[in-house]
Amino acid sequence: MDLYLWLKLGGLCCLFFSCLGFGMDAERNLKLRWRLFVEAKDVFAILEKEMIFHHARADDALKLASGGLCTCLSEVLIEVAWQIEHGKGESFEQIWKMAVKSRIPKYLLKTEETELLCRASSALCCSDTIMQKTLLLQNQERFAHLSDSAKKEYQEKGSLVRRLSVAGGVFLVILLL
Amino acid sequence: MEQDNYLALLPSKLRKSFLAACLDRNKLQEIRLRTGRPLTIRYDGREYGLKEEGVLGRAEEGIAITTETVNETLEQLTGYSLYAYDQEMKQGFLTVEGGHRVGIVGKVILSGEQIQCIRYVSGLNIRLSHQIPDCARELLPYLIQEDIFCHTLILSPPGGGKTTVLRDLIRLLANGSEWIAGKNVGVVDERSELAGSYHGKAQNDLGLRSDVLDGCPKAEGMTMLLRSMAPQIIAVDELGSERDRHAVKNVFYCGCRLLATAHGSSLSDIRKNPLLGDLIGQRMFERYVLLGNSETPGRICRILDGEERLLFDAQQGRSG
Repeated sequence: MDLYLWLKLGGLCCLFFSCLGFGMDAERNLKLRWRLFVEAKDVFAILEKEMIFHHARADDALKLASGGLCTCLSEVLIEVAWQIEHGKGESFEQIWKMAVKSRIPKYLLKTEETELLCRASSALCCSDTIMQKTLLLQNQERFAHLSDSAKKEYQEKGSLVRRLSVAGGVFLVILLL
Repeated sequence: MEQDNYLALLPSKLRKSFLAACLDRNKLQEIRLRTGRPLTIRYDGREYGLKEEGVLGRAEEGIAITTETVNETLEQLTGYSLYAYDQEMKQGFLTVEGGHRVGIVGKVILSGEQIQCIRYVSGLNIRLSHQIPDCARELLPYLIQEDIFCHTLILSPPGGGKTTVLRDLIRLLANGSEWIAGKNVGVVDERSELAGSYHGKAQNDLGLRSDVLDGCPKAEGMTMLLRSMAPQIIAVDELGSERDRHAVKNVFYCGCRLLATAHGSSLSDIRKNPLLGDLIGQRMFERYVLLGNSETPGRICRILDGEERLLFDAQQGRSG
């Protein structure tokens, strides 16, 4: 009898903590999304400086911009830089798109946001510097806007998701008791 | 990139065909891409079309070039850093890693009277840089008089091999040879073609005692070298701009020797250039080396002295 109670208690704890885990994971993803957009905005600012003013090579500029990033965006930049140095000669658009799609988890961004990030390649490989500067600034603005929205979303939904997960866990525990 | 690895300059589509063709790098002179037309190459002095399967054929049989291929090639040539070549592209050409020169045509966008950029690139001419050791060795004794290197001007039409001969002369003079002891040679490599510098490291051998000023305009570069590096010889490629006048005269009057190249097939051709015409008129140069055309790049046709007397004629052998 005691064993049955202990097993039941253990099962309920697992259920409660998994509900809590789901909630925290969802909250963490919201935070990561926000962080990714902030970093994307900063990356385009660094790239503008490196490419337009310092005329650094694309691979060097990307490596430099990847330093200090803590999201998967750094993996995208490193992958693109590697492909530039050692790749088989694909177009920049292809290289960038492949890196974005393989390095950024699908659950993190919406389809249109992934497409937006893919289209950013046109700002990085352009023969007209005036146009390139405009495109880089445009991308900075876009990602600044997205980071504002993601921040708002995180602030509004983050704690709500966590509280809901706790409430859901408690509800399930009560229901099963 | 090594000088020989020209394949790294090409996009994957073209790379396969070039790999399959197994071309001799030393014989491959130029690759031409024109939108909507076939890819042609100049190989061993002749023009061919390169088929997709890597077989050489007539010019019209070459791989059909699309706008995408041209754009991808341009991306590849510049290491996906087109913006870094902004200034060079305004001049209609760029020098890429390995010292290869790429001519560009397309729609020129103007800002006032200034060229802002070339957009919608429709054609590329990739001229591969060649280092042919000792190609200038037989020329060297004609350029030395009483153990002193003469002020020398090398002339040829475009594609005649001026840069290749100049590069080897620099190497021979900087290393020293049986004709002359090694000299300190200051090189102003405005278009990074002579040393083929990449990230500050020369990829072509310019000899032991050469000092390369990479990417620097000729006029400023010659003055800087004179002030800082105490060169015995100053070497420059493609002399002729009015901007160079003051610096060239400085070189002549300071005891330094000048080794230069210019576009032209004869002395009468380059007399029309205001700067070179003046220098020839004042008998500043002591030797003129006339090279062959693009059919026979690097072949020495004639050597004249400062008085324009014939010292060597390829058809007659040495005369003076």
